[in-house]
Amino acid sequence: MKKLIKTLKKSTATAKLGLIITAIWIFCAIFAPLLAPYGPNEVNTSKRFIPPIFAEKGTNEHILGTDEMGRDVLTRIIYGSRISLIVGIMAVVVSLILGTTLGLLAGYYGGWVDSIIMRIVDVMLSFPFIFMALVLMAVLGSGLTNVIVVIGITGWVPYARTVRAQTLSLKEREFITASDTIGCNDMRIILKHILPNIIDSAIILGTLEMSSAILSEASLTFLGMGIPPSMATWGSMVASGREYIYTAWWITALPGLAIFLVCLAINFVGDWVRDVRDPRLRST
Amino acid sequence: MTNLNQRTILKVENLKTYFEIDKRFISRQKKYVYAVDDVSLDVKEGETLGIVGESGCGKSTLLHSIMRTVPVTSGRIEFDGKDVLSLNKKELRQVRKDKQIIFQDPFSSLDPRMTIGEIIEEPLIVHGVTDVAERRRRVLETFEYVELLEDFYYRYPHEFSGGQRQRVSIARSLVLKPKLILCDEPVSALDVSIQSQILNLLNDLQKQLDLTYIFVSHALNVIRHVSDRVCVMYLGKVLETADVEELFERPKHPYTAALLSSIPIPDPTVNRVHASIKGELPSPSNPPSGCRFHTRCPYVKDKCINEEPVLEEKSSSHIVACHFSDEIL
Repeated sequence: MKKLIKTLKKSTATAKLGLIITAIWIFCAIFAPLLAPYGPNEVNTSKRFIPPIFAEKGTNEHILGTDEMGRDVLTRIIYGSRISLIVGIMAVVVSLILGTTLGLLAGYYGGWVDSIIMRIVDVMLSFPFIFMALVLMAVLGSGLTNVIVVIGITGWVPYARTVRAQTLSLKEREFITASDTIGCNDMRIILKHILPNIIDSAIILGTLEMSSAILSEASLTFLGMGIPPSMATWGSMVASGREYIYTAWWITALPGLAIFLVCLAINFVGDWVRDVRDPRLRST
Repeated sequence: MTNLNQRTILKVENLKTYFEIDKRFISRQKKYVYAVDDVSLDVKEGETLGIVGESGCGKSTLLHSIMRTVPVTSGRIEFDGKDVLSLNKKELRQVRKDKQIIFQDPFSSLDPRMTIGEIIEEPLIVHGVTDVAERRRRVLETFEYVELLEDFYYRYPHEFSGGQRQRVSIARSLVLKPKLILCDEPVSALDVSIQSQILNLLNDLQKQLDLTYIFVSHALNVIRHVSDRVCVMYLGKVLETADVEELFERPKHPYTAALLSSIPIPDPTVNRVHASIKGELPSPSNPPSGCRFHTRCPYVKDKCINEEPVLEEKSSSHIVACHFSDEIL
């Protein structure tokens, strides 16, 4: 714990900002029912399109205004953070594990293993994501778990490619030959020597991909194939506010801002993780 | 020095390691790089066999073939009474315990993510030393052998200089208490002042631990310093093998003679005659006919172009592959 505080103190300003935003985001997601002033689906038709407090005609009652059905935007953003957190983390974990495993196998063994995996990658890349995701969603049906599964299994390609490329270059390093000569088996070489040296770039990639996973969830929800409308998500808020963007910009802009801030923060945290993980930058 | 009573620890017979290149789809003609081409050699217990040659002559490939880290095309390698090439993965692991390699580049031979202690400990973990205290004791014992401080245990390779890293690398190969250590140019990436430290360390370790070395280098002065016997390689072939003093004083192959004449003598008054080698090293994928050296040999005759010379014993343990060695040198 002391070590963690020491590392935090030494981190850069952007890392601190990222960590603070991420912490707020996670806090909101966990304690949503306590923090939110209203219920996420509390409809009040007499209070539609109330602007946020800092705009003209804003009120104290609804700090960030209300949407086309009179639901409180702040409440829905707080509840939406739950979905984006779960989808972002879980989908990235699924595709990171899948992509890293396949990339390691392809890079380390080469030959026909590599050919098969890389041909699958080529096929995946030639399909538009949204088409593939829609087909899978149609087969599996909508729902939070299925959204995670679909985003997870359509998103492993960049991990596999990065990991494979890194594995190929690491394999030529002498310390890999050395581990072979001291008697390590393939499993040990992959897990103990290659994986620790490539996992950081997979994690950095994961943070970048987390924002795209959040956006993918929004796209699927917008198209009606993602999260059911009974759950408040940032994606569905952006989508439903689209029609009123000229008269009530806050309905789309504020959840959009939430997506932006969270994605930015995740990227800052990703950079910080990389710095902390690199032994060359670690203090002795 | 070698004598007949010593046991042969490693016996290499007709070893060939070819690398396939240029797989053309249409012609289907396979081309090879003849990295190691029909090499035979013996290594006696406790000696240091030096292998010297130009870059690209196959000396590193020879070491890696003996270690079986590259696929061998044909031949026989007998180490400590076992036929190394016929072993399966599991048996190979056991044999490799007694046969370790030190790499040329200490900057790429250590895993940057592991501490010095972990690096040296790993061979013990892999070979089933489960007792943590025992492992630590053996690692620290090895630290002492290579003169590393105990504090280095928890530090990372990037914090060290080339010489210290090479000590770590040596420690890793020592910790399993091997019989044979293959040194693949272990000092060529280091400063001259550090080179001598490492060479002396290797010498001391040999005496202390009864090690046998095969020492590959392109630096003749290094070879002369460490070796008991020397083997001169050229384009995948052995041209000459002899005891170190014999080879340096009375070379019997024109290539060896030319190599030796290129060693600088630190005395400006000595008038030196360069037995120069003309031209470039021919491509190992398309080696010259007859004697491999004929394209660059100053004494070349017709016989050299047409007929490949075999290794012949000229005097006790001095073996040369040259048709005219008696006449020339």
